[in-house]
Amino acid sequence: MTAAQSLLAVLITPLLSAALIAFFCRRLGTVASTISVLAAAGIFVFSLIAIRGAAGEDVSISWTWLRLGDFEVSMGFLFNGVSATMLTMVGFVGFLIHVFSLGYMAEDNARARFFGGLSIFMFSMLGIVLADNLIMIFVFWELVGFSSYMLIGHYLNTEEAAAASKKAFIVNRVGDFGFLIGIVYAYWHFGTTNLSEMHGIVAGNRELISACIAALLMCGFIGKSAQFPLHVWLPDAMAGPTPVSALIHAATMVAAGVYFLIRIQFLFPSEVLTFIAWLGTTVAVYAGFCAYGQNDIKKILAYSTLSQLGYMSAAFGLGFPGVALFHLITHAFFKALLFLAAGSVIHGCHHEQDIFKMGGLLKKMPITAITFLLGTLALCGVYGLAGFYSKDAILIAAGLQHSPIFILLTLGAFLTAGYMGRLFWIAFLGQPKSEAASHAKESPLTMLVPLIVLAVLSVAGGWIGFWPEQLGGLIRDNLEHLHHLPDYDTMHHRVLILGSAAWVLGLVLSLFFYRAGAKEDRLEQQAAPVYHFLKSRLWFDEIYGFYVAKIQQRFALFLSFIDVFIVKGIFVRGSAGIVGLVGMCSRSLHDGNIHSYVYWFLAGLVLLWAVASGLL
Amino acid sequence: MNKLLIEFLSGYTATNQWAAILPEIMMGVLALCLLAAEMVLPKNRQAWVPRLAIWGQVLILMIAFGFVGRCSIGEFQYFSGLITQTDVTQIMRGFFLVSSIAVCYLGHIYLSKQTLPQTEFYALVLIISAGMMLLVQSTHFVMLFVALETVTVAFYVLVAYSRTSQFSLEAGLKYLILGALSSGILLFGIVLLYGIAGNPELLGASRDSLNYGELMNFVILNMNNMIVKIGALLVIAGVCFKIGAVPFQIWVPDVYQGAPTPVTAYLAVASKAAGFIVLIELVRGPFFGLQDFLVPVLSVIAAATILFGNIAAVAQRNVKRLMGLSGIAHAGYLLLGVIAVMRGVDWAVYAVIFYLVTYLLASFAVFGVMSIAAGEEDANQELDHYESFARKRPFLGGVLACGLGSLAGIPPLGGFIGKLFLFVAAFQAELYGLLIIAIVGVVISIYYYFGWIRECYFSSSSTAVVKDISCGATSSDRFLLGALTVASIVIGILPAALPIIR
Amino acid sequence: MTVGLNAFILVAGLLFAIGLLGVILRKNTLIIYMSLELMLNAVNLALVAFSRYNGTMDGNLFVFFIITVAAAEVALGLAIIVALFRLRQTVMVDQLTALSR
Repeated sequence: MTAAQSLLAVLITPLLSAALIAFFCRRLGTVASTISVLAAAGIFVFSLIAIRGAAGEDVSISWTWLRLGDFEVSMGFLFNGVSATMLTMVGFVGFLIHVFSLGYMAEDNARARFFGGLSIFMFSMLGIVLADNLIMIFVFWELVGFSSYMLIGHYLNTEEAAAASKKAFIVNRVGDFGFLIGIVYAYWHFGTTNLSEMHGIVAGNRELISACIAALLMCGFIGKSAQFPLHVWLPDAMAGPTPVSALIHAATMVAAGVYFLIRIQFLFPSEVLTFIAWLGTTVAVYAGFCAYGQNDIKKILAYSTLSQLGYMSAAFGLGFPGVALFHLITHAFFKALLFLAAGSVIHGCHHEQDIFKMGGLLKKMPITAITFLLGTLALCGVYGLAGFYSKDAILIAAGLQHSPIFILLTLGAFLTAGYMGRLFWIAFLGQPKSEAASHAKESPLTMLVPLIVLAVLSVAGGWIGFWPEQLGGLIRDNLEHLHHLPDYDTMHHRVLILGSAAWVLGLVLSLFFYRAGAKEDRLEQQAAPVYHFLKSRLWFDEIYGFYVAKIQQRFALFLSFIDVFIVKGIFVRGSAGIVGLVGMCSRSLHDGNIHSYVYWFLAGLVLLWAVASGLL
Repeated sequence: MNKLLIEFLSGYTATNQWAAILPEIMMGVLALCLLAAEMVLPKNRQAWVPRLAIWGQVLILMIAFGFVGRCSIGEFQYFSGLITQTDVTQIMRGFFLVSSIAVCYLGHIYLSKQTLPQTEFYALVLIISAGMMLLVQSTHFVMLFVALETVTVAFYVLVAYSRTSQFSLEAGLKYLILGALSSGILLFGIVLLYGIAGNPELLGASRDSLNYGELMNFVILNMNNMIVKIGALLVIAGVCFKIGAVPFQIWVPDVYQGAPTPVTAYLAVASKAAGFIVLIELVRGPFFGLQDFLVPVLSVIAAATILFGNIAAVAQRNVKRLMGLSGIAHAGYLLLGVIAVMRGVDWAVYAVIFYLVTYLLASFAVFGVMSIAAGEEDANQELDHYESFARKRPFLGGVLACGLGSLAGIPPLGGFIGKLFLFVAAFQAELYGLLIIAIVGVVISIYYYFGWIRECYFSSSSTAVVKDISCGATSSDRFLLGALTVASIVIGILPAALPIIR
Repeated sequence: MTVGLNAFILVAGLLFAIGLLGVILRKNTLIIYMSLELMLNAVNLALVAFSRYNGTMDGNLFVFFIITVAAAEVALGLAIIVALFRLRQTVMVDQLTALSR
């Protein structure tokens, strides 16, 4: 098998699985889940074969998808070190999450739909990873959005899920609208949307880089990676099944936005980069604060995801796409672990998600708890664990270039340790605080194995020296570049000290403040205003609530107006008057009388003559 | 003397290669055979007539495609320049054959519910098909007129075919009067062009001034002549009537509603396609020199057509009128392609053909479902008729949804690629304003197409009387509709599957 | 005295206009129909005149085709009008408006 063939196989396997499930196994949950898991395994195997086959070289193949005259659209793969890294991560984490879902969804009636959705999601995600042009990326981008929509709304009977999936869909459309315009603009500007060709063009002439195109394409990233101001959908998306949250809303799809930026990094001029850096920093700190106001275990993790995505875009904005990719990969490991462990907890506690109703889980579910702890430590950036290396690199990059961002990101690290500590101490230590928690049992093996594997990766995933040769080339280059910047050593020591202080302080202070296994939020009792301030998400959310309800909602409505939906609002649902008017016009036109038709005909002729001779 | 005459005549007849129009001749012969077969066959064997019509056409299609294989790219003139065959006309031959096969099939469904004479229907469909094939090949105004009238006159009969229905007859009358009027106007335009181009006092005057090529040379030399302009405008108006472009669209909804559903489909697809190919040949041929004059005219027509068709369709509840009005909108999108051709984007011809093919597939799927779902009086098909249609007839509902989705231009269906090609062509021709209007039109169209789909799948009112849909689909119906739907999807995913792209 | 081309064309134009006015103004479908035929004949006249003055035969030839087509149209039109009259007992255009909206 050549690299190209195996890449094709990577893409076709999940599609085949989805088709099989959709056509033949709609009622056979067990068969469907087996097919889907096998497909996920197949993806991983095929991607390894592809990476082996490529042997570190770039593989780029394309087929003409449609051609008419000199208009041509090609579909193809651009497989380089970055996509190899991403492919391995998506394939592996995806597989683990599939396995986990076997256990987690075992009692769900609509398993076939769920696993079919997972397969479609894998297909579309891999499409984004491999695509070699913007149009293809957009097609798969929309598919990803669609499958995410489908999976968030998996629990059809809960209103929350329906609203959340709708919200995710609409908010994403807003970003995609800009993305689409960006693609058209790029096609107009460069005459192509192929990534390598565009790279060649801008490499030849730096002046061709357009801030406008970059900003428009960035809109897609903002929507998909849930950055400010389109971040509202991500916390709500937690209404979906937990494996979905792990797969889509932590490890892969939301990271696809960052991945997309890395793929097109050559298009970004410095002012847009600076903007992205600040955007990311803001989100990192903002989401860190927000997490303190949440009691739902998944929502805390969702805000943590937001915050980490902020770190990635900050790294990208600082000019270190490789570092962003590094953090993306390590984050995928430990955040998938955290979500899956949370899923295991939720499963064990019979779908209880409030951390103040848990407690004592360390004894009841030791493996889950320990893996969760490892994930937490990795997320906090404890020395030697995966998160440490990538976060460290980001902080160093920030410290060397931009002190305000550095200070904010360090604050973010402190906040991260604090809310993760709060989560862990309260949920896992102390005594069970509810009926459900006291009867919690350790999860089945299908769920524990993925946890253990991911825990290992959360520990060792950051040891870049041990990564296979073919992966992480860009990461090594960027780290190398970082090492050779002036003042690296002093900054490195400073970051080491500050970073470690941040997580130690965060964890310890949260332990002392909240107390292990607390029944109630101590912050709420002792400093209610502060707590509500945070719960309402830092007044940011007051402004934000206003923004969402009054401005963004209308903005979204306005865009969907342009899109499709409000046509019905105007013409049929909304105002009966206009319906009447249109109907009346068409009625009075088509009154059935041949005479009036002939008049029309002649009037039309005269009108045409008037137009033609320039009178009109 | 005799010898001289023979030499003189042989000069004219040298290019009379009858084999070149073999498919058309075979269609005519087949039509006559059908009439003969009706007389010969005993009463209980009359069912063979439609089979003979359909399979005969399939055979002709295969023979004609043999021609396509042989006659590749290039122009071949026959009959002293009366007809010219190019790759486009060859493709259109197949197009018309496929559509007449489909119409024969739909006609079979329709006629089985009515007490009407059968054979003439098929014979007329075949003759129309042959006429349209000649129409797109003609490069001479006499040929154009004769072929056009063959088609139109036969259509008058077909529209009024249901003699017992006042709707059908009234539609026939309206089509007849307006059609005759438009023919008169078209003719008047032709005569003006003929007269002025034959005037020996003018530069470039020709002795064969009805011929496209000669006329083109004359028009280029006399592009500011008022008579030339009026003549060209009248001819364009006559053609615009056939394609149903604003302001000559006014007959469309009434005729579409009154005509038997298969005939509506035929009018919507084949007649419109023929009109567009003729229009393209005119603007590339005789009116090539009048670009500056005609581009604004056609642009205004296109914009008005798109907006009118879509806006009028939004409030429409009768599905046949809805298809008529939305068909007007499609004519508007296609005009975009024609204008792009005029602006020098040559490949836009293929974009137009591609769009026509996707339109054929989707329209016949929709009209097929309508034929099957129709009751006794098929002029009165309201949207309510389709309430929870998909629940009762899941297969037909699926076909309908795919067909409408393709018409609306939803990926991954064929209609999307068709629109994409047209819009890219318009983009390359720098028709930005029209493009925006077209996109607005598409957005509006999604609403009413989806309104229909919604009616099928999620009907809200439970109080409405559940109308029994009398007839289900037979296995051959399923085969045909399924094939059309699959073709729509395949073209949407793999446009290269359609070998017209060059 | 020879009659010039312009005279013929003028007459043809007048006939065409009369035909058009007939189509617009008369309410009886039969008369509308006759007016349409008048328009075709105006065209015929113009064709013959052009043919004569330009010295080409095409126009004369074209006239035969037009006459044939017109004959076919008339036959058909009368049939439709008669059939419609049987069903509706009227041929007045302002009453034939079952298809509208």
